[in-house]
Amino acid sequence: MVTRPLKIEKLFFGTWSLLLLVALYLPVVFLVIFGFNSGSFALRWEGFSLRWYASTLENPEMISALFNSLLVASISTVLAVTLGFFYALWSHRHSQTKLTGATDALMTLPLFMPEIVISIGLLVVVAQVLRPGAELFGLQLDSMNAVILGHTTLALGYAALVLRNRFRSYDLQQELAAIDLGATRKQVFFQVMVPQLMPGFAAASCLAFAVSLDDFYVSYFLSTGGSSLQTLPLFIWSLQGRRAMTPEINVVSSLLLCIAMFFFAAGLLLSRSEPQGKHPKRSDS
Amino acid sequence: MRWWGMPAKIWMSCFILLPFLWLALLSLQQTPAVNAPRQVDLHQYARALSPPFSNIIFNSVLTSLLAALLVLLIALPLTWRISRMPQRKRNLWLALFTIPLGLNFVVRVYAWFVLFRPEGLLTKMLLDLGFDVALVSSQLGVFIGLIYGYLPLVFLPLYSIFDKLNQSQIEAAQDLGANLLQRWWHIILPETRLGLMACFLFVFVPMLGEYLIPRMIGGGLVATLGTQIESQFLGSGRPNWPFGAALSLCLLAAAALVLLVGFSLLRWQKSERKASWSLDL
Amino acid sequence: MRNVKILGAFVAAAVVGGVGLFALKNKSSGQRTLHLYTWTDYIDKQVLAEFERKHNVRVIEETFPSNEVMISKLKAGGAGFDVIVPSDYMIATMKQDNLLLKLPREKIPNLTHLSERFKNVSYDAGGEYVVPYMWGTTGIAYNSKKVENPPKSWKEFFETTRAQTAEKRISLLDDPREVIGAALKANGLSLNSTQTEELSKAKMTLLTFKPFVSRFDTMSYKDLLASDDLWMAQAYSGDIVKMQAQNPELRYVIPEDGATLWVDNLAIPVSARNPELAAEFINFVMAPEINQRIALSIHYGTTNEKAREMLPASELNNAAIYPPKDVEARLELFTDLGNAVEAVDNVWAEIRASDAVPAEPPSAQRQ
Repeated sequence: MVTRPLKIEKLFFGTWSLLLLVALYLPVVFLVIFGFNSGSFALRWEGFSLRWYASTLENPEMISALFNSLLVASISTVLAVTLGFFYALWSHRHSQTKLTGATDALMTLPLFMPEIVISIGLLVVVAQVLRPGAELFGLQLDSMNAVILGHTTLALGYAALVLRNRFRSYDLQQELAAIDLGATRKQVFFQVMVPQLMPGFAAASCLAFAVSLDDFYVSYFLSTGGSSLQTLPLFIWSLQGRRAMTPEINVVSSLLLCIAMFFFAAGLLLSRSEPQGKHPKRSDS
Repeated sequence: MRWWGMPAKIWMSCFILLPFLWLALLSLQQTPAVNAPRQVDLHQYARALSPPFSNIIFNSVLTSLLAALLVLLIALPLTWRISRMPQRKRNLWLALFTIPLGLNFVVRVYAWFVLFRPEGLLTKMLLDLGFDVALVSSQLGVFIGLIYGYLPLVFLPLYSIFDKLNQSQIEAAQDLGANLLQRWWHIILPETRLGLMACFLFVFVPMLGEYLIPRMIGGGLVATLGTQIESQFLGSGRPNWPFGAALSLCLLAAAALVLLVGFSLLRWQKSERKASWSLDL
Repeated sequence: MRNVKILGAFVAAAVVGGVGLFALKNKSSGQRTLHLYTWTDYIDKQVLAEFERKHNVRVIEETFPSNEVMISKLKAGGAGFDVIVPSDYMIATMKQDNLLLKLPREKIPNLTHLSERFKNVSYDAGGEYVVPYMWGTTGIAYNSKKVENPPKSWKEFFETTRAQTAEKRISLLDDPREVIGAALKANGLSLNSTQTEELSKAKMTLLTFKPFVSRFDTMSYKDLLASDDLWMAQAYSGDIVKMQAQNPELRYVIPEDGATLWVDNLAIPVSARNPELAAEFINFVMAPEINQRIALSIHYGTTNEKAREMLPASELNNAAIYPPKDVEARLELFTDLGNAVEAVDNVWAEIRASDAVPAEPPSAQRQ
């Protein structure tokens, strides 16, 4: 499996990856360092201090933005993963029929459509169809609901994709054996299917959460409805306009890095935690 | 069981297909005014497809095509090498390259801007080295920003492609004396072409609609499809939703065109329709 | 498999926690909430905190970078904002579109503190709909260390000074009326011109100037001025006074060929959820002592006579904030352009979209 690389190949790989790592990490490192700035201006270094960490953590706006982000991400993750899970189940069972090709494409559309188009499409529909529609029934579709709606749509694309891919390694024999042994449908579901699919489930959750947390466009366009909603990325974006951008922008970013990194790493780990060689080769034909 | 797929399908139809149809409808409206008589015509498209907007569309497509290609080319040798490492090392390397993704996109763009602004550290360093290039408020800056912003996205999907590649064939070719180029051209590329195409689209499409990078790094000076669309909805000018909708559909059309051309170049077969699923995140 | 379980538990905990917090938030929402939609950096945060404390409410502040964005959001969204801060020229359109609620004047006793000239403004006769809040000017900011011969007028700004900064170090506001207005002024025309010929003159000025422009920016230009990234900018007066604390080299001039005077106003949109609280808030910020604190923190001119009397001399004598009488005579207010605003919009779209500079003006204009 591992072939011995040539010397020149090794050298090339070394320099190439070094260059890339520097390019990728340099801005990040500076960003994090400037969070420890003692001066009050984000673009000028004056010395080391933790004062901006203290002040950011007490900033009510930042707390509420963080809260909003986590809330939106949690709810849309639950929605997206649930929907995606059942879709993947269905799609797996019916993978022989012609229709699944089309619906599979539909489900992955959010990944292959520019986010800006998804966002303005949703903005237009929310403003011209859903909001007036909800008002007819005396309901308010506020920006929180609109943003959750948008994030769920985005996350569903990712969740469906991950779950659908995980289903390829699903061992149907186990299920059939369970049925042969007289298991009820409920038992089959909870004791055979769910445990097998748990890793994919967790991976999809983490990915959906990260997608929601990272999203700028959908929140930017959909948070416009009246009582507008500030998510963390929007808060960071608006920090730019404040009187003398303070190092708070760096602090918030560093904190966000920590949160997102956790979920991302978790998702990464889970989507690959399966022992090698177990999944059957994908058949493209 | 038969209906389990329904909720998700309804959801996607409501929030992806319906918005798309609504945009299409909106784009046929002649004037932005809400209470104007609803005349239906192609006026908005005529405007979108004539200068200066046609140039902007063309430029955006070209820039994104190039940037997406470069992103793939940059990441390709690395992921290839990683996919041929021992298991333990692989995860470490992969993590190393994907961790920047943990940083919010807005923040990543901002961090890049801070280093390359006229008084930024790297600009000054480059100047000391004798390179006097404007990496903000310029087309070049936006181009490089696009590459920087989207590079971390392709490592994982590319890796998955190579990871699933059947190694024995390559080894056989190597044993038979095929050199590096021959191996790539005759075996690796044909085997992975669909996945590569999916990866390409995965970065190309969002690049095409990118708003943050031209806004922050380009200073609002570099006109792209993304900035033009945004400005029809929430921009500094008067909102013009029908025109914004027409521009969005042009964007989708451009993306679809690239997709079609791309796949037909690859001699895409009907049986391989599930290409989108070869993207493994 | 073990770490899968741990992570699964963690995700579950996060989700449950999030939903729990949501429930908690809804429970505590018995408190009244005021949604304030205002310009970026336009109120003293401590004043907001004091209002929250005194009236036992929660204030949510949302900001916009230009009037146009504010209108777009107001139209795209449903109900929500309780107090908004539109500028003078927007008021007529907003009244026409029925976006504004009539002021409950009896609930705002502090209106009596308004100075005479703001009691009856041209765009809202009788003060039926809005309360003038703060005013300021749009002029030229520059870094005195970097720009040797600073421009004294828009004409110089657009035509001569640019040569000094061969590098792109100039920014313009991301605001159609302001940018086109400045170019009109440079041509010796009115800010409010809608004539095709005059507008195309302004357009030419801007198109030839565009290669020197580094940003169209209302949000972060002031930071970039302070950090020496920009050397010259079209700027709001108060922004520059504020940023002088970060960079003492910054200067602000009101151009000789005229500049924009703008007055921002407090108003209650029709869609407000909490109009009574909005009136309370307006009354609160119009109280002289509070108003004085706001003016001192944002460095714009106050419309409140009593508050002005309480300001320190250093503030009152700052010509960037309270320009002397002769300078004030050069200032002009934007007016509502009605349907003609479309012409301005088209020019704006063309400037923003154009990449190339036309080699020579179209022949039609030379005749």
